[in-house]
Amino acid sequence: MTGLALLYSGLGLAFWTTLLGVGICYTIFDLGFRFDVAWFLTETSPYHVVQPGHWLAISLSVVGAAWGIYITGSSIIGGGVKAPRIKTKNLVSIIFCEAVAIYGIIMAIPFNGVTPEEIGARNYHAGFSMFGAGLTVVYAISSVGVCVGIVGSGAALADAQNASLFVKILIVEIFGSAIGLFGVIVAILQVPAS
Amino acid sequence: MAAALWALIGALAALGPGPAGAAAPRLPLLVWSTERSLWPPQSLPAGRALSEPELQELLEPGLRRGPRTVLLFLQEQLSLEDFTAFGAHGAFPRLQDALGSAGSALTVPAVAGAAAAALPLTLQRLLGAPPPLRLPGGALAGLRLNRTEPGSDHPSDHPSDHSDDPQSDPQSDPQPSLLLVGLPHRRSGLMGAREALSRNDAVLGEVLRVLQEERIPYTALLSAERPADPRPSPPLDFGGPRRALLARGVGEGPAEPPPLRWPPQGDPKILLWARNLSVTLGGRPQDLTPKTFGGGAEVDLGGSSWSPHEARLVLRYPEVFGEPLNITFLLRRAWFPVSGRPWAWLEEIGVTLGGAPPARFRIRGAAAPSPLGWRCGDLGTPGPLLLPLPPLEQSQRWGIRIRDLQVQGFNVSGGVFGGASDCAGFFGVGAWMGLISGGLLLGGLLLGGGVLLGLRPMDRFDDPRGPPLPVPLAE
Repeated sequence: MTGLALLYSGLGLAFWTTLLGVGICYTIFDLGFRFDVAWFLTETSPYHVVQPGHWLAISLSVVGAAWGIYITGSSIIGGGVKAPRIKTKNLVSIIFCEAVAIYGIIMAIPFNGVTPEEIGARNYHAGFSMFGAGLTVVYAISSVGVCVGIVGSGAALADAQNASLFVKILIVEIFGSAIGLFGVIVAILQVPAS
Repeated sequence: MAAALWALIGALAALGPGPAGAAAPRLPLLVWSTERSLWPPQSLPAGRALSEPELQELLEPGLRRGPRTVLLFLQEQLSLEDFTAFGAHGAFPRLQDALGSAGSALTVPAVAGAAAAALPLTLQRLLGAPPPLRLPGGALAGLRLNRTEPGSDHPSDHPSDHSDDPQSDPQSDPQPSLLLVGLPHRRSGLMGAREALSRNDAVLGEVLRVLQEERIPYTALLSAERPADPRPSPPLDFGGPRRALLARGVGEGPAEPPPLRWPPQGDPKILLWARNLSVTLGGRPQDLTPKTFGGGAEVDLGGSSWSPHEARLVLRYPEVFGEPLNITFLLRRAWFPVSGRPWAWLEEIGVTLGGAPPARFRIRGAAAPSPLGWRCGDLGTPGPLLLPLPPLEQSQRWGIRIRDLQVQGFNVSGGVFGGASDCAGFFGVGAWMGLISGGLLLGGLLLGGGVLLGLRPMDRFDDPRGPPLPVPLAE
């Protein structure tokens, strides 16, 4: 087992063992009522989930975009060795990946400047909807970034083989980028509602 | 009426704040008689000890109309807790029989120590009797008692009084008989409390048996010379070793006053204890702890009520900030079908000064399954748990601070607290927020680490043994 797998499995085992032990103790001492998710959700400040939504939105969207750029870029560089003509044209794929990261920045702007006083101590709707907006962007953009990257990689390599294929594959990339936009639109709709 | 009121105020003043740390002794008093309806049902002042004038006023009607034979059983130590602790374990079978078969019975849970000590003189005065005849160990041998029935016009034609004095003329002495029976068994290292109580109960039963065989109507009183020493905490049994919750035996240590009980007689239904109870009005603090718990308590619980779904404990103080003060603890219980069990919660604390509108405070999270009480180390305003309710102009004037509060309004058994759910969890709110946020950050870190460590160069078209790739110079 590699070091990383060992680390992950060790962490997972520790986590689940702790959870199991605590759960057994709560059960045998008839303290199950103390496991109160509602207490956690209502007692914690809503603001403490707004900020994670904020940084998840920007960071994981950039992660997705970076992953796409890494995939596309390495294909462009590799394919460009044999077919140097593809280098300039396939930068469009890089731009599409970077646009995906811009979606994350677009989402970060509504989060900007939100203070605990604005939200209030008991405005659970505001806090959790902003966290949800951030998660919406995270799931949409991170996967779209990878999608655009893989399609861009294919476009570069196909273009190296046959120049007429590039435009057709670019259409696939456009669709991939558009579905990321759906996630951004929904997230923007979530934020003002709070 | 006015005289009684002044006597009561005087009694309250006499019971008022004494030397710091001093606890006035209080003793229970049981009274029963073969005659019926001597003491009609009446509400005794709750939460405080009766003084000598009050006791005299309480006993006088029944003694005047009752049998002429009065027995006063005095044991060395007795407290109300002895009945709750040992009653169910068969320490008082004959006393219970006597009370059950008595025509009239009266239970006074708390009589001031001085009033209890003066009980023989009080009875002598009320009955107009000669000094009491002392019967150590309850020996009634050779005693002839007055068989006068209550309500008869004159006892002159009945055999009269106690006969140990050979010069007494039994035919012309219809005086009431006051017998002082000293119950001999004392608690010590060799004889525990329960055994001493049980043996004294046997002596009491023997005396009453003699009277019953002789068909002598009587009135009997049971009290003690001094309160019992504090008992060590009894084992807290919540149904087995499964439940060892956060409760502790409050109010049972030697330095801790006992909890407030309502009703004060019999099995309490509501228990409340706090290490410190204080209120603040307009910046002026007032510590109510000595007025609420312990020997100098002057709180009246008479306004309290209980039903299976609502328990209301009302603490009435005669004067705080120059006016009467009421503090109300409202507890509720309800069945929750999803949970499948009843839950009880401390819903509200109300503070009313004089005739002003009450200041109300809601308590957050003071809920637990019904057999459990609720405990909190620190409850007060400002604070996360105690929230002022409208009208805010009233509730924001007041500050409340209760330390080490434990309250139970339902499923109280044996007169002691059951288990309790604490307001503090293992992690505080901030700790949970930090754990969740930290977990998210750690997750992001692990994800990033996984991605970085999983990077591989693209080697799909890489052939190490093939010819080197030509790089055209034209591009």
